[in-house]
Amino acid sequence: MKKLVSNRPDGKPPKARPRPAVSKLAAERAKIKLPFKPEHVSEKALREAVDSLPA
Amino acid sequence: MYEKNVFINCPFDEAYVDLLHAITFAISYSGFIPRSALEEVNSGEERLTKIVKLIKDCRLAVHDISRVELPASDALPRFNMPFECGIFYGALSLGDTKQRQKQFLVLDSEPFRYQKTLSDIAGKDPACHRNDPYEAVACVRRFLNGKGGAAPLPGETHFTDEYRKFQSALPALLQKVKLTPLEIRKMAYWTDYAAAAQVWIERRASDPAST
Repeated sequence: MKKLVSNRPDGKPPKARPRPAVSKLAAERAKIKLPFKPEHVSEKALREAVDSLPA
Repeated sequence: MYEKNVFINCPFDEAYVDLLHAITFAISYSGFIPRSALEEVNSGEERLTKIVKLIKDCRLAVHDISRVELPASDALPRFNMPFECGIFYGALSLGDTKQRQKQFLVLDSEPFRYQKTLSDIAGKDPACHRNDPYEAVACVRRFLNGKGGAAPLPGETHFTDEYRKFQSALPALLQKVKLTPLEIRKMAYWTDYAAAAQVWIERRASDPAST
């Protein structure tokens, strides 16, 4: 495994970059569950289809 | 989920579907739940009973009263939207403490026309979408901003950009689940559209760069 090279003056390993926090709104959106089912397609198929879309 | 439910009261015809889709997306993107009488079309329940139940379950509502024009000379006006708006207002005015928390948005396609068609709601400041789905997204976003979700919501430009991205992604998504763009425009497929939008938005939510 490649070792990270430090550019800190004290020679300590570089600090990991903090991951950006998911916003409060994004977290709320992710919690939403629709109280009805799609009638002509399964939720599982929809999730797989969305996951397969290019980012 | 009373706090998060948003009742969509609008025409159910193909000419309105672009606006319905835009409103549905904007509600989900704001972190709320779109609700419509188009749910459970085969439930066998009487239509009015179903609508009253839905209204009771929704703290918020979007009422579109824009379809007052007659599409043909022999057509008759439809009163369903003002009627359902009245039921919602009745629950708000006469209901218990929970029902009195209700808030609603009235949409029209032309500014100030309501003064002639539904003058009783003067003072409720109807918003105008000019039959433009992107303007409808902006109207719904303005209404839901600060309504108990994660406030403040991102700006209108962010909302309309995200809606444009979803609309662009939709044909490929539909192809993968074996639906066609024509089918998803049918009212009977509204639950599929709402679910597709919700899943797409969830995926965006897991990508911090998109929010």
